[in-house]
Amino acid sequence: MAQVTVTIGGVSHSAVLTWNGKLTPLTNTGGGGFTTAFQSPPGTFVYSIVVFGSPSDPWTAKVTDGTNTNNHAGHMSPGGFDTTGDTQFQVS
Amino acid sequence: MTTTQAFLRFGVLALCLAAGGQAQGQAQQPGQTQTPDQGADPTQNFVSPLGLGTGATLAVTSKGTSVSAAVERQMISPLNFWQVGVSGTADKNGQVQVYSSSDKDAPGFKAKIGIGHSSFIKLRPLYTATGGDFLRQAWCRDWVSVVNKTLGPAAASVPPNANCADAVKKVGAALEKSPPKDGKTATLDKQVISALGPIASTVKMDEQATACDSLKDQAAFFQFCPAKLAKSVEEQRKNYPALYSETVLGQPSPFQWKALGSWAPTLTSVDYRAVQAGVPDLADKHQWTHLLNTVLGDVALYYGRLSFGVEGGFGQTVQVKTQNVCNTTTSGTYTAQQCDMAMIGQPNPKNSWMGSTTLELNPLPVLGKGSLLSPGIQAVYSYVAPTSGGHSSELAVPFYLAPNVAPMKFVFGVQPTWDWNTDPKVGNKFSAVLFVGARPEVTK
Repeated sequence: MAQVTVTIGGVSHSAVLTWNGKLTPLTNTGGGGFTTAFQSPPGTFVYSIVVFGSPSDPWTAKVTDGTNTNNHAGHMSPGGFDTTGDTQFQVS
Repeated sequence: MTTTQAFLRFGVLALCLAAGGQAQGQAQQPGQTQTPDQGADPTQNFVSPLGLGTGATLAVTSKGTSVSAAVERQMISPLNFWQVGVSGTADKNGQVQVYSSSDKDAPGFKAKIGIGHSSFIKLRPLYTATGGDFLRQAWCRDWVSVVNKTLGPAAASVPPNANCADAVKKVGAALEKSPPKDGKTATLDKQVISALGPIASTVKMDEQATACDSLKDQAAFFQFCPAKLAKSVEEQRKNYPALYSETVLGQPSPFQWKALGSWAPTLTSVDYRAVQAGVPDLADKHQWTHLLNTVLGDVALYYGRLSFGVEGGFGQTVQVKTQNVCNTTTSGTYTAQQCDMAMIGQPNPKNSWMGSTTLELNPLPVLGKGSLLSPGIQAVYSYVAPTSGGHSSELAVPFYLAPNVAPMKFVFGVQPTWDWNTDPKVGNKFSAVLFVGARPEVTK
């Protein structure tokens, strides 16, 4: 088992994490930050992050298990949302 | 929280300019003996005790220091989030004596415990799946663009809405017809087109990872791989708007909402002197400590750059008017005074209706796209009406600027505030506060 940590920043309204097809609760730590950490068996998983905030706000996300890391960055759309899209992650 | 984040999140309310209306301070008048000092705004208001949002905030005002901390956690159930927060305020002397209709300045220890539903929190499988497809198509187009640029005047014309397969076909044909004169470039171009050819129709995640692995040493191509830094769907939309329109489906509605029900207990403590048969006993000190309960309902609506929050509640408020009570010792022609701030008579909690609304426009469309700063504005109106009559109202209009690189973590601005109080009649007040800290949120 490895500990997967997801950290999201720059999100003023909300963020949603889907891990392997299931919603995974996030904690809003304030200042636009959301985070969660959970144990995962080794293997390949698909996740997505959808974020909501003010239009054109920059946001970032980091998914890591300590060995592998995915970094995401973008700006909110005029409608105030954005996503990483379905993304693969290898838990070692 | 890093040191930098902690520093930035410490809101420092630096300048409070009172103008018009009655003075609201509690300047001591040492020349008086056992006579009332100017009281403060006596209505304590529980609306939006966590108006600064989640996280930890320290605010230092001319009236004292307040600390608030809140956390919000999502849940997988119809009620899909909860929030717990606390805040406490003390005046400059560490005493509980400053009361204001702006509840951030009110003394006492407050908590807010709530549970609610947020339309943000739900699965959006179509948006994220087609978004992922679009990103891989855009990645393929990025690689094909690099190849196409090496062809110079013989470069293929790729339509803006072309998908990966069409782009590979067109650029592959142009490469076959007129390869770059540099042998190494030609070989690399052919390697890229060969890698993309079999996977171009539907680029899968594994296929993209394999292709990226094969060109790990080629910075010109590897820079577009998600392993480096994955651009988001809406970021890549700027580069391939036509492809986005054809590929991405199920986008979230710009309209979203949150609703939250809360219990907000407040522990308040104040010194007082008892009044018996209309005569105050100024010599005996008493302390009044009470838990005041309030129930609150919050609704927040979001639509693009507009946010609107409304909060209503019913609960106990207490009106406290502190006075300077002094013990004067006389020795010959000398006098010495020892003074305490205390209320004459025991505080009497009343039930009150209370409401607060916040309208936010962020970003405010006044600066151009190239600007380094992003402005925003809020209008916050709060109202408290004790069942015994009278009301206390406040309108605040914070205007702030935030650097585009980190608009959530750091803002600076000015907040003019108007207060009206009718029971007891303490007059109107205008103040302007400069503030630095995290971006204020709408009522949650």
